[in-house]
Amino acid sequence: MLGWEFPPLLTGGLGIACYGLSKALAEYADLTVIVPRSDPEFKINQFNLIGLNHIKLEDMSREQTEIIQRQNQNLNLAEINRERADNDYHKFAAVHEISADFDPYPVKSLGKLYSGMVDFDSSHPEGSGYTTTTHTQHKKSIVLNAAEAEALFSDMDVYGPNIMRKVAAYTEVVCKLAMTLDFDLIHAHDWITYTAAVRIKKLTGKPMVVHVHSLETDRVDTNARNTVFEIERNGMLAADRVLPVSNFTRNNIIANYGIDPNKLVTVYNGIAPVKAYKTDKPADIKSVMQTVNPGQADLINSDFTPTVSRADETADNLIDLPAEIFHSRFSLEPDFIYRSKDEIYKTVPYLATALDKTKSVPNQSKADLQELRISNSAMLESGQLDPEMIKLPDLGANEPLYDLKAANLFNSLNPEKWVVFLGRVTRQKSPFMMLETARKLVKKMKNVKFFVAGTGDQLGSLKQQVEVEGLQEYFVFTGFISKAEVGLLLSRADVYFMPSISEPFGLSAVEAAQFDVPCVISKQSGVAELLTHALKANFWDTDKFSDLLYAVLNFDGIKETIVGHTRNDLKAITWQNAAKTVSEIYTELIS
Amino acid sequence: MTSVCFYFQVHQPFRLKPYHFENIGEDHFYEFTQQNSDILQRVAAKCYLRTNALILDLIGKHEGKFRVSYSISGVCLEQFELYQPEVIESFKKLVATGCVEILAETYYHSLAFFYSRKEFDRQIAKHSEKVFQLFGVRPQVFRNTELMYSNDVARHVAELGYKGILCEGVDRILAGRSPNFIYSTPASDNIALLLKNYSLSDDIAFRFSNRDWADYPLNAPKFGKWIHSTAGNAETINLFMDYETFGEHQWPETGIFDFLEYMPGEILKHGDFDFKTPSEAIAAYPRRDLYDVPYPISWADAERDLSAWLENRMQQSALQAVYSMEEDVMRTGDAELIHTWGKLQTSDHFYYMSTKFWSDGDVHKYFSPFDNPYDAAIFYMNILSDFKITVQKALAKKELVK
Repeated sequence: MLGWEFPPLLTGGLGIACYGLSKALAEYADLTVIVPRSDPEFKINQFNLIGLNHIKLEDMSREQTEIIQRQNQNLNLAEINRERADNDYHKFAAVHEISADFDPYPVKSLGKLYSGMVDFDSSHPEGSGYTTTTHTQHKKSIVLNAAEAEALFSDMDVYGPNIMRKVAAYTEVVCKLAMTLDFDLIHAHDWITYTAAVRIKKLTGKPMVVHVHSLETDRVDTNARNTVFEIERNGMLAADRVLPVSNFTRNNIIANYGIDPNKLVTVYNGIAPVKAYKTDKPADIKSVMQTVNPGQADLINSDFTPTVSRADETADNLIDLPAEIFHSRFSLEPDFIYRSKDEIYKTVPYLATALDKTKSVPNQSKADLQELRISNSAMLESGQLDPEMIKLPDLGANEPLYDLKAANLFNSLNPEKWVVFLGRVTRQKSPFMMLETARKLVKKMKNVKFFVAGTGDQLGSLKQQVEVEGLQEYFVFTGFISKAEVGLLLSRADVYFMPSISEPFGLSAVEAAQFDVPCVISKQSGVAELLTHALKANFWDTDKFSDLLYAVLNFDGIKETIVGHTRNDLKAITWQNAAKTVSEIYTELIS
Repeated sequence: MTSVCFYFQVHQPFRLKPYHFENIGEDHFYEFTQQNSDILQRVAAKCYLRTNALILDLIGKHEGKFRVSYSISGVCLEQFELYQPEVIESFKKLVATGCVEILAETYYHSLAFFYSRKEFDRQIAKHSEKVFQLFGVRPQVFRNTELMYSNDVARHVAELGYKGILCEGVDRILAGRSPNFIYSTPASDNIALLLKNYSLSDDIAFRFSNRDWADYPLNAPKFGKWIHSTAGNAETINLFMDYETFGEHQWPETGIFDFLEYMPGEILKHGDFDFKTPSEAIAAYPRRDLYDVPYPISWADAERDLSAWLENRMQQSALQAVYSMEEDVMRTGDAELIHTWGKLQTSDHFYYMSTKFWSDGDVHKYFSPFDNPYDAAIFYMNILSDFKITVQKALAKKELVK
């Protein structure tokens, strides 16, 4: 199983899916999961997890390396060239100009993405040679030795600006590694691992399955025909079976990639059950951003005095959340973020201690705070935290812990109907359709708030437009929020709104459903096939969306009916079901 | 002697239009006029006019021995008058033969009994008046919307002076007994029960064109034999069904009209069999046993209960919402508002909101003008929101005038 992200390290939906599926699949198969990075502390019993950050390339026997070299040499030159032209990452290395609209999936730094192109030079004496080309340095080779490859995988961020380098290195290392392993089948998740899978299939002749969690045509648009598209297409062409996560994605693969429908088998994602809870909306909404652990919602204060008056609310300070600090480091799909409590505390320090000015610190959290204080200091020193944004926690009983500049966010709010929009604020998630829907809705109902939880390249323009239209009082921009905060937000939400233009699956809607939040989603989503009782409209139909939101927010009978039936729908959304289908495919391919 | 007792339900609701929330407080017209007119004219051509003509022929041909009964909802009679008055004329001809009985029901084909007895009584009286005005007869036997029935319904209807009531012959209540006799109710001595023989009724109404059915194809001689096989062990075989069975649910191509044409002759071949209307059957046969129905039943779905109309929360809250307006609506004294309120009570609106079989798209979907039950509920609630505003405005105006 070739994956890219894996919990508990920073992960997006892909990581969650790989993890959920692997765990359930371990019942049926002996699995080895290879990912660029794994956490040495993270122990899993069900299957063997290899993080490339933990293996030494030199560890691989010389013999194995030679086998690969020999096999490479056995391919005649024409074949090698053809292979380069078709299937390998040579393809993308040959691209000189990259379309500006490349939305780098979970990668954020658009501009830098292609600055370090990688070319693999099989004739390089060291066998693991890489050449990199940049926009300015075509064909000027830089040798990437084993140590550098190792360094690549030690990087905390598995995406980052040098993702193509990492993909190339991953491909090379995984191919070598694969030769040392005994296995029957290759299972690759999303384009970043497809090149490796294709090569292993060529080297070993073993059957290959590719799992499609998302497509370039979802992320960019239907007409995307770029490098990633080519990698995806080549991977699917080479695969014996292609597993899209929904029929929606299956249809897109048929329509846009021209893959034989006979080898497409839809495998719906599952979801781990959660202990959902409901909390009351705070009397003063400012406290919503204060983190609580599930079940400890009481921590929220209700008499915090905001430091910024209503008059100061401009688009600028509306967005002025500490979360923005983390945006630069963690701009992955917030829908799917999985991190441990400690991880949250380390990375989102303001959350851990955002208690009110008078309330004493609960004893049990003092140790956490102490730890936090240390990590905050470190972050401040390294420039990761803006000292203007926070004050370090004072552990005295009656002292304010944080002066949340962001508190002004909430002072205009009172317990009202909450619409939650969760996800990257990008074209794919259709934030402007949300705005249009909101504009229509607020004509008839004033007691509504749209919570936009997430960041993305359209966030700035969205905020600007909200202000231009004078709709600030109906919008709350929370920035990036953690898993725990997502839970808290969902525990109070009245409706979950996902108007995505093209959503391969849409796990966040299932998460909302787990919290008994009724979902209003676009028909252009995979999850629409599973949530029979979610209310649906075409992504462009904001008239319909506003009708649906109005009904869910105003007519309890409708809301209750959706929630009641959705509990049934949820029963079928399990990783066990997914694993069963996948194992049947394995059996079929191996025998 | 064994009698075959036919009752045909004739009903079309005033369907509501897709009403968007933006119109609340602004648009006070709720009906989907074009659709209602289209459907009514289509069904009139395919079923009502054609079948009425055939039945009129059959009555003449069998010299009055073929006898049937109808229940026609008030909202349906109104739509005939609005969109296809010819149908009213053809029913008048049928009633004039003396072989056709018209039954009583709630004018708006509503669930009023379960929410307001006062409104229930008002609707029965309104319907009776409409029938008398059109056909010159007063109904004597009652049937409630979709055969919704319980001991309470029987007691109440008996108090209104009706001598008979129709209901479903539910297996779990019959407990092995035959539906082919007149039954009595523990609730009243003054009213007799006619129980639907659902097996033979559904052979015609649902299974007639079903090629997977072991007895397909059904024809008149075969059906006649089945009826005759009950000889000596039945007094009234009650065949109750939607009138739209003929020509609309079962298309002419299925042979349904041939079946109807020859079926009376086949049944009358046997000297011990005849046709009776509900009033005649009640007069002719004694009550053989007690049919005790403490909880409401109906003729819908396998459950034969009210779940098709008030199973889910949106149906329940919609019904509660519309009936909670009774006092205000009546206080306006505005005939048009009261009529609009009545039309909003029509059971079909709540049936469209049923999520029972939605996932596997079944009979509910076939009858619904909306894409899904949620749309049905959303548009209904939007309309009700506007109607509430309208009623409040009317009340305020009335106060001012005072």
